Amino acid sequence: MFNPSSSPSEQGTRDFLDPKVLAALGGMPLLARRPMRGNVSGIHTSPTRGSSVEFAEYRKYVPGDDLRRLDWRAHGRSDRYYVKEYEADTNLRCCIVVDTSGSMDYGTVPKKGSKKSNDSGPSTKLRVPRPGVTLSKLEYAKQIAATIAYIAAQQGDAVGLSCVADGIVQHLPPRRNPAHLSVMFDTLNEAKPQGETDLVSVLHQLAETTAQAALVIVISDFFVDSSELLGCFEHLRFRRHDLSLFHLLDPMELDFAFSGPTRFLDMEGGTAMLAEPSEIAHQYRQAMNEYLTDLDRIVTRSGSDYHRVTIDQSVQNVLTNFVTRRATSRGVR
Amino acid sequence: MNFLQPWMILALPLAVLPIIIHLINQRRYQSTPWAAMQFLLAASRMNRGYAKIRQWLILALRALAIVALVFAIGRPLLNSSMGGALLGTLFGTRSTNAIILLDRSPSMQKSVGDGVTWLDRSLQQVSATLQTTGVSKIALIESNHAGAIEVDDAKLLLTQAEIGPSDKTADLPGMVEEAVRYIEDNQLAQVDLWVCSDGNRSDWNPTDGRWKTMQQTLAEMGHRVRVRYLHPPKEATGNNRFITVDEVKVDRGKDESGISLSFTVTEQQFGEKEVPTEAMTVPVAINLLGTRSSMEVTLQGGVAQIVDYHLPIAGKVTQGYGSISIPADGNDSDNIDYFAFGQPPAKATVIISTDEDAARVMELAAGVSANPFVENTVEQITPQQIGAIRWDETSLVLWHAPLPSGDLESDSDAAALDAFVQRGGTVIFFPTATIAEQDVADSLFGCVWTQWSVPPEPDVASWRGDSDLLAATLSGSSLPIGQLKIYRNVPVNGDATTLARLSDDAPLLSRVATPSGGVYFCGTTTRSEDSTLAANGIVLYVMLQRALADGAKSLGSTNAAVAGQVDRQRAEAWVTKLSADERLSTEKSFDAGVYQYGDEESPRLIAVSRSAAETKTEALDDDELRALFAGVPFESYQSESANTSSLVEEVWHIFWIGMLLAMFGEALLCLPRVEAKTQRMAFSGSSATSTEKAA
Repeated sequence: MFNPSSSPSEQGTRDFLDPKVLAALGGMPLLARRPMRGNVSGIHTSPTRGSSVEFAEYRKYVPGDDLRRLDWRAHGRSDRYYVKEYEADTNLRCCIVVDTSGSMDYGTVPKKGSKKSNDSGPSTKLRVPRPGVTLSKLEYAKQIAATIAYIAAQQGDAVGLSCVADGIVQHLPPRRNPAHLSVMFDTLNEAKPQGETDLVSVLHQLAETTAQAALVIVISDFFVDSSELLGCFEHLRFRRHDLSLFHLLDPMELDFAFSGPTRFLDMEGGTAMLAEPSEIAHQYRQAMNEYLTDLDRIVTRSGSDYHRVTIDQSVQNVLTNFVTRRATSRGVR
Repeated sequence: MNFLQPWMILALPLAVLPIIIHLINQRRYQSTPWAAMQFLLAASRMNRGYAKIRQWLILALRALAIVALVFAIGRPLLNSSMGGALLGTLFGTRSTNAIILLDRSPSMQKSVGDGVTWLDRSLQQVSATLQTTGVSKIALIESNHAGAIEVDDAKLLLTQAEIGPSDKTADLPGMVEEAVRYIEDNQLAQVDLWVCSDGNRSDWNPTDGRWKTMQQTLAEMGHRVRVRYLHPPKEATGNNRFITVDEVKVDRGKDESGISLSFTVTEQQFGEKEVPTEAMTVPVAINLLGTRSSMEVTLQGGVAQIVDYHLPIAGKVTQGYGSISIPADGNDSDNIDYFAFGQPPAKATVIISTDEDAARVMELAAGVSANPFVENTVEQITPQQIGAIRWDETSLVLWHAPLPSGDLESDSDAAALDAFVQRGGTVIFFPTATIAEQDVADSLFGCVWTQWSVPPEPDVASWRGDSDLLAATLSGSSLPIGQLKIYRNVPVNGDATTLARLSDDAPLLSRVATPSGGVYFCGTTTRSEDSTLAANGIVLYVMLQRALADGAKSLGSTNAAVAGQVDRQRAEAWVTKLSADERLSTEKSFDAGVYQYGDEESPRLIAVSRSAAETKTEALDDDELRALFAGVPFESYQSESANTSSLVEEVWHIFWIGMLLAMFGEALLCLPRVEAKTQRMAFSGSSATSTEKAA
């Protein structure tokens, strides 16, 4: 099993793992909202009957059933043979999809420990991404992905990772092997933001290639056409995957609080655009608002577990909320 | 619009400063990587309409604020009709001299509201305007005196003594002539010629020959001179009644005396309203030697003429004076008229003849007075003694000598005779025994003698018995003209009205039409071989007495004079008996009133009245005024009754307000939009509750 407290030389530069967060979330199970077909015993509900102590239902006896499971009391009351069935607990397959496209490199929130970390209030100055100083959406995504992977591995689930941009850049199928977690962290560590986003195609592809029902966690800014997202989300649901979405946004992407003429450079290689922010701020917010409204409608319709997160929020709070909500909605078969 | 600080207009290009700053700011953009490009592109596509022009509106308002600031500092003057002066001011041709022509005639004293006359108001407005615009040299030319009065400051215009009302008719051609002379003498470069007048036709006299000369002179000056005419306010309309004394006759009886006063009250309307035709009663107050009485007269069709209204005077009074007045109306200057009366002067006749016989008959006929209180005097002189005639005391001239020539400049006798006739005297020409060449070639009054002829019948064939010298008596009896025998006659040739004809249709007595006085040509003489005028003396006596009476009318008015037509130096010695208040003692000859002159033992009275022409309210219209100043920059201003201030007004405060409004508007446009703020709050909310939503 991977040890988060191991030395930095062993872990490389895995600063996306915060021991405090891991410790806080360590006692909280990550549960699937749907029954999972695992190949070993676990803490998740299985669609098949098993040998747990939790009664599930009565079933008529058919020849060949184990006579030890007959309920003789029920026979005494009704003069019929019933077999007593119990819930089966299994493990799950957790597929974490991290968007590593160029747009995920954007982030204006100062990192913890940096000089500007205390400037939490709104600033009228132009806030720009500064490598090493500000926290990018990808770095935030890595923190979420690594923490969830650690929790899942801890509770015996198989965890896989897909880094996607204009295609699948890196893919690690789900494994229960503790050494796999280390490989996974290395992969996360090496993930660099580049390329355009083709999230829709990638999700369709994953829906097809992931045979068994799994917990699919997508961490992205979802800067794609919202109408296309519905198709891939429904595709994943159709394949009986439990879909969770972490929608990462930088506060500046919501506020658009720029001043003075600004030349905006497309982080995914598109053309640059010179604009007077004060002239178009209203329209920008209107477009963003429409997009978010559409996204709300889509995730509601597809039954996805949707979390809109601004990267100035605490990772611990976000994940605590995530895990807690999942525990309360458990049992849907 | 004009500017007191026109050089500030040069700062107008500063208005592009905001645009330049904007362009510089645009070039100093900052670059930043951006992820949510799809929303930026969508926002750019949505940014249209008001949102797109908002930035331009802000720029326009900023530029407007600078323009307003520049204009405000430039001290703009508001008057649309002065707009033409803008270019002039920019190119340094701004007028620094002002000449004010002030019409002080009675018609200028019509009220324009609040008891202020147009005379005062127009000068106030010009003074205020000149104070606002500022000029270096001001000259005042008023209608009473020749010459210009130089005024140091526009404020002092209203303190000048010579700006008060007067009863003299203004001579606008003469005043403009004086202004032109002043401009040339002082070699003024740029002059504003302000004309304060009501455009009264009698004051302007547009048919005066001097206008053409002055118009050419002013036109040659080019744009050096700009005429600015001040129109009276249109609201200054209403009725105006005026009263004039027509005649004063002294009635003398055994125990008491009195006067017979003839006067006229007339109603006029300012503007285009017609005089009411219905009867109106007007009270008339009469002041005779300090005794006041009143009466009422009824105006029919706007006129009431009272003839020989008797006013008794206790005791024997040889001379006196008084006034007659009506209530105040739109113009108070013509609501009172003055009269004076005294011992009538002797009726003097001068016979110019070398023929003793003929002259003796005429002397007898003219020397017997019809009025026992009036003495007739006759003096016979030869043509060489004409220079010794006292024209001022002569009523009738019987000219039995060669005709005076028509050249007034070289012939002093002709000039004196012409002046005598213009004054109202009467002259009768008789042919001499020998008709000289001059008598048939050129003559003063356009008529010349032909030659002696003998008519086929000696009787007078026809004559005019309805009027003039040969009119029938008051009882209707005809003069015995038919009994006259004319043996020789010299028909007169020229433009004259024939009063009597002989049987061969030759004119015997003719009258030349003259504006005043009487000029007659009698074709025969009193010699017995020429006619029976001497033998049948009734016709000659009546004829000469009537001519004498007509000629004496003007002399009888030695108690009356017209304002402005009296010698000013002579009038300065007069003692005022009756006059309007607040008149200058040096301007008695221009002011209506009663004055006393002469030595203490035999003082004489004279009543000065305004000119009859001032009773006419007809004014020149704008086109006629422009025609008088053709070729000269002419601007007319319509005054307003309520406006007591300058014709131009500094309107910088409007531009300050405009600048503030522009800045306020710019600030409003720069404010963040309220809905945008709301949306931002909504984003923050959704971000915080997204997990709950999903759950």
